[in-house]
Amino acid sequence: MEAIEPTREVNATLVDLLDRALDKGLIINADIIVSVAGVPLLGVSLKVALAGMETMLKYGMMEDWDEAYRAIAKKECGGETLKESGVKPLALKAQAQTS
Amino acid sequence: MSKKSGRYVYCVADSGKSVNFGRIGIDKGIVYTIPSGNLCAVVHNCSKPYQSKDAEKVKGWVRTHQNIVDVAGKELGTVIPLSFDVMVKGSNKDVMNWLEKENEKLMDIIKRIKGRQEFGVQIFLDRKIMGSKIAEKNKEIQRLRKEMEKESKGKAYFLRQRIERVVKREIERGADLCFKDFFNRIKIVADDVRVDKVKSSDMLMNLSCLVHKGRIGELGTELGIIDDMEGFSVRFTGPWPPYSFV
Amino acid sequence: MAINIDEENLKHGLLGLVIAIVEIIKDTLRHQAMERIESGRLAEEEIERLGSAFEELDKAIEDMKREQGISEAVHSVRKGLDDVASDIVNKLVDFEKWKGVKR
Repeated sequence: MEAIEPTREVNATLVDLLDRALDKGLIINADIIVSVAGVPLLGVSLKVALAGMETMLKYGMMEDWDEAYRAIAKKECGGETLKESGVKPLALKAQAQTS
Repeated sequence: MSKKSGRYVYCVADSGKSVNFGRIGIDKGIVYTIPSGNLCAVVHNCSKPYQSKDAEKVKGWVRTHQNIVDVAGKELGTVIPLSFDVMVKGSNKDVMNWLEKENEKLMDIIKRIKGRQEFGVQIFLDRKIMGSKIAEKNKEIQRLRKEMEKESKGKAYFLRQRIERVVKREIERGADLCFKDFFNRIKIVADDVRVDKVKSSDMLMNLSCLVHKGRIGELGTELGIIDDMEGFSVRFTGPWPPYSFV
Repeated sequence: MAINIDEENLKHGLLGLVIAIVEIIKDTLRHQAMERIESGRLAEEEIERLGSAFEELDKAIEDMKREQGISEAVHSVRKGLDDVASDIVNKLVDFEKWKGVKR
């Protein structure tokens, strides 16, 4: 009987990395924090990060941070997230409402 | 051209050092630290969040994100990782204010994770193997099988269905007992364990474990024992920065 | 919560859907039949007839799935429905309960 060694081989553990980096990690509730993470993971689906360039373009200039972010935030809060604590969507919601 | 009005934050480190890591960031951004007292944020300047329909591109970004967290960890000590694509809108001063405001909370987290790493533990169960073992040993099933041999075709059909039901029920009971047993064994070695959703029908449990560096060997040994059990296999990944425990 | 059906061949997909539903109904009827048998409400010949009927139905469905090449499609429809059910259960079940497991 042998002990098992943990692996972090990049290709073999991509899904494990995505599960962590896309849906977990530090959450800080602050007006200045904006995040497009909190992705519902279906296999290797990267829904939010892959979300519309269209949304950005629809609001005109790419430099228009506020508008584009609010649009993304509203869209994501309306959709599903796997985030159990629900903090991220609420943070985005609060932001969308106060700004 | 858009001005770089934001800071992409990779992680927060237990260090007040001012370091420039060079062009190793996403989109070749220059990664550096913004210190505030005994902590610092590891950032690069950016103007908007990273979005793309190209899955390969995004995967690359996430790998880069993880790479920075690793590099920062080696250079600065304990790090609190952030999710991919979190940004602070504003300047270095805004980041410093945020660090100052959250200092106590961040220090608490650092205390909890210092000297520890996250590991993924996935245990798979081959239900067919467990099913055959159960069929061999279970008395109720033996009895039903004997009955079946004597019966006419129509009745035998229903007896077969009953046997399948019993087998299924016993498999689930066995799987449940194993889950609890394995969980307990792992909980002894780890500081903290989170139960995540299983990712496939043959996956019995999917855990994230916060383990003290000195006890990783113990965990590996325990998992080796489980992996050796007939019908079970273990997938052990890591070490990861403690994404699940911050 | 999408149910994935082979969209390239609609007929294929529809047939898969239909057979999946047939299987589910058959399973339900069989379950009811077994309950009746266990509660002693069926006569010997009835049990015999039902058993044979179900066995033939099982075989007919398997044959059709094989001939039409829709075993995968049927499986994926049923799995999709299973996932929907699991989703709902997961939202209700508290995984935190495992943390309370004693040493």
